[in-house]
Amino acid sequence: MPPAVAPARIDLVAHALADGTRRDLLRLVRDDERAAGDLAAAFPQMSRPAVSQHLRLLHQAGLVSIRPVGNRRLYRANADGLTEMGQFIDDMWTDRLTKLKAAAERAERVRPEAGQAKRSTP
Amino acid sequence: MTDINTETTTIEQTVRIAASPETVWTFWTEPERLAEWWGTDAEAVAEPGGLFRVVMESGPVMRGAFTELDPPHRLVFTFGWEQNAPGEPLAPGSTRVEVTMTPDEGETLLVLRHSEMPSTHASDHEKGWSHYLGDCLAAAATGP
Repeated sequence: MPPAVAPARIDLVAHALADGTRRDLLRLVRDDERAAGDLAAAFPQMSRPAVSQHLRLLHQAGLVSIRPVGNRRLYRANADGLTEMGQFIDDMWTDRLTKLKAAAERAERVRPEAGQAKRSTP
Repeated sequence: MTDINTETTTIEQTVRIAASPETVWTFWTEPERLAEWWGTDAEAVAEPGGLFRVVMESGPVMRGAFTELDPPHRLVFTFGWEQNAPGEPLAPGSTRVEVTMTPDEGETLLVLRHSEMPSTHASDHEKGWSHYLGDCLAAAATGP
């Protein structure tokens, strides 16, 4: 049975939040807008392109917004995007419970005698 | 159906399933059945304290433990992402899921409540994240 496809939004947010560096980045831009260069400086053990890639993933997931100022790009946690963390869990359950319903009803139909026996029991 | 209590930051969903609670129960406690709807692979030791682990197809791994089991009517387990360190949002053990299955005319009314665990030893930093997530759950109730 092929794996079911999860909504793209769920994948993006889950993937973005599954990495420690990206969670650290999100924390750094939670209250303050920061330039990409400042953020890269906070991770001296990491190359600047690697930090940029993490920021790109956070942006794609809608978790940070980018404001260009001159030749700099300023990052900040996106308040709307962050509600996605709660929304993500909500969407996940909506999605999964729909699949649970289908799977359980399929199993029940495969064993109709069990269901009938149960219903006839007072 | 979704309802979110903003005071306790609990997500609640209800689904009606044309199957008996006994059948639905097995889809929460048997690994091969969990793999039919939640993830691609699952481990479930259906006893208090037993490991509950589900690998989702999009990558994240849910790691938790069963805390209460009353077959086939009610089960409670902790829920977190295996990759998240303690104190981070949705770290293992940080949230709680309660599932109740009530028989109704040969079918099952399933209610799922997902809530934050009370934090007992959070530093200010961790508390901030806990509140952060709480705000997010609350905001999800009203929508963007």
